[in-house]
Amino acid sequence: MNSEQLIKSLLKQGEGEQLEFKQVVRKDAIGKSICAFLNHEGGQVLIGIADDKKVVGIADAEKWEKELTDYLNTTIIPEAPIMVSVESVGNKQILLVKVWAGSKQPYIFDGSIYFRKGQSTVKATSQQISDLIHNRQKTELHWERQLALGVELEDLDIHEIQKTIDRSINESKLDESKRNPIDFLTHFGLFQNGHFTHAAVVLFAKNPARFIPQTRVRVAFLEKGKTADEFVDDKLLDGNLFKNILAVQDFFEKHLRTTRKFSEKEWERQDEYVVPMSALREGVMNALVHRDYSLPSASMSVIIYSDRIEVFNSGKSPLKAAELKKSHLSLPVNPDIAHIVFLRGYIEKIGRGTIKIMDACKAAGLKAPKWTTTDTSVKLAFPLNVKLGGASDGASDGASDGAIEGVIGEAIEGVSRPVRTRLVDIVSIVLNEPGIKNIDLQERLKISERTVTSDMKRLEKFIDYKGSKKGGGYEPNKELLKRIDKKPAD
Amino acid sequence: MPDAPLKIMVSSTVYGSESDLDQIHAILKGYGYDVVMSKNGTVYVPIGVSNEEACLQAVEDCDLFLGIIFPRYGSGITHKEFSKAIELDKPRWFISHHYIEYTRQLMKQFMFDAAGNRNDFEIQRTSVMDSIKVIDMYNEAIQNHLDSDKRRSHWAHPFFKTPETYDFLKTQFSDMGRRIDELNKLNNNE
Repeated sequence: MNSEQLIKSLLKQGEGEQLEFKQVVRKDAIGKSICAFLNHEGGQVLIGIADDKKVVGIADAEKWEKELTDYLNTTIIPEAPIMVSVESVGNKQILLVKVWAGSKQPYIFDGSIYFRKGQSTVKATSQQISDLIHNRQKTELHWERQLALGVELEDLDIHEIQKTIDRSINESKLDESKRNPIDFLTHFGLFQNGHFTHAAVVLFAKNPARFIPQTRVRVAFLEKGKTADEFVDDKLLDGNLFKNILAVQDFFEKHLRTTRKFSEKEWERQDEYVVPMSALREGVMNALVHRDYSLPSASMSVIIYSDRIEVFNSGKSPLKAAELKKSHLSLPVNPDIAHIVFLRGYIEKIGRGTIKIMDACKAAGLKAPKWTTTDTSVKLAFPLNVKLGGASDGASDGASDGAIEGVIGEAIEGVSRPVRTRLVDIVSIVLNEPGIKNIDLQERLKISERTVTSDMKRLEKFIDYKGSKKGGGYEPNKELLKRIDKKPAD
Repeated sequence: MPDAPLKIMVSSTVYGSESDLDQIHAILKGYGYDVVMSKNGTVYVPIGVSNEEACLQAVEDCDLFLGIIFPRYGSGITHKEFSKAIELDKPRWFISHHYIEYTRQLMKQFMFDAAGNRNDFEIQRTSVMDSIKVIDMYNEAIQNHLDSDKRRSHWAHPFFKTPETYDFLKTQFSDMGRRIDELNKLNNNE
């Protein structure tokens, strides 16, 4: 779903508890609504929309984007992650202002506490204020806000803190007076009455694992060994969140570079990885920001298998796997960590990380990534189109090249080595992406339509063509599934 | 709703996040009070009057007094505001950070001479407390020097994190009508 589609679905939805339309930029009215959203369940304001939901757009959208960011960051107290962005609908530009539910209620605008009631923003009543205070006590009990005793300023990476401060000030998300690291940390609740919080350790400690062992992240690459599957390059990252982001990225760069040579025509191709780096980074970022850190047994891992990449983290997602794919604004699991990561520029679009991942995979012609959530874990799997040097682990639902070769033995008898490899690749792709079209296989394997058709003739015992001549595609048949010992997909 | 809002003065050393104090101000305002707080510029300073004098005048003018004791002493104006409120016997509440009572017990052995008088003991400024004078403030608030049966309005409610003070505000001040009735009764009896 691209931005324009998102905006259109919001327009269709109409104003409500989490959504408000404005025709022009009226700063105070927007401030009140954002304050009310923070005190409630998060929300968004679309500016440039007439009363009849017609997109009228606004002039100088970029100028307003900056001005509104400055304004909201200085008038809403306490500070919150507020995203202001310019969006296009047709040839019109509109502004979108968006916030998660706040974690430091009650939020104030112009000295007063505002509350959302249906479609309108009102000053909070005594009862509503008392309810907000009650909610706040609960947020304060969260692991992230507890004090990490024994941590001193020397234990923190001042350089990393300074980078965050500089970036926040440059993007006018922070005012100049908070340049001092302690002032900055105090301002965001990461330093309280002489102590640093757990969030401060996760974000900025030089060696967070010294204080909180479960902050470590495991990264591994599974290679098919001579006798068994083995993890090569298997290590624990023990840096702070920002250092870990870079380390995971390095790890990906090391193992996921495609081996395909660049042809002259392709030289401008931007993404040279089997999965777009932007999608991977977003997936890892989500896990680092939203994982459960509270239990000593909590963990996070990033494992590259031959047929997929898995990002696993412990923690209960507040959303079901299907809901993760939509735009959502519920209170983040670790709001303090999320806020700082937002200041650092790693979360561009609040509540849209998962959509971004899906879009990037789609644009790269990959099968959609899959989220699996349980009561205690969230797993994101990116299926791979190209096999990496290794093989899948035995427990996976993918079949290894070796296994496929065995299964389709009669079809590859007597063919040359390159053809054999290609046939195995085709079977592997059809298994992973049932319904794939002739033209997609041509594109993927860089072969002609005729080659696909003749290969399919060889594979007719295992692959069926289903659907109309134009719109149909290839699917694994029962024989193939039986041989590969896999139940037909639902 | 009552005709005239009560005027409450919040006296506190600025500590931690300034936005905490902004929230305290907004909560009390939301409950209907007229809030006076030096931090928010709501203390009116007449020409020719010092900031300190203005603050003390504000104590005289308020109906209710709320003192917040963070482990930070600051300039000492807050201490004077506390003394004034106690001297005027204003209806008052104190909330005090846990470290204050802890430090009071720990440092008692150094702070007083054999006769029980305060000596000139002072600590070095640290990141958790800047001056032992916060303990003097606290002792005044809880009327430590008086026999227990002579103490009045001496309870200091403990808190650890600033948002806990909001919970105290909720319990004590969410019903302004009730406080107005109490004040009326108190004034009529005198």
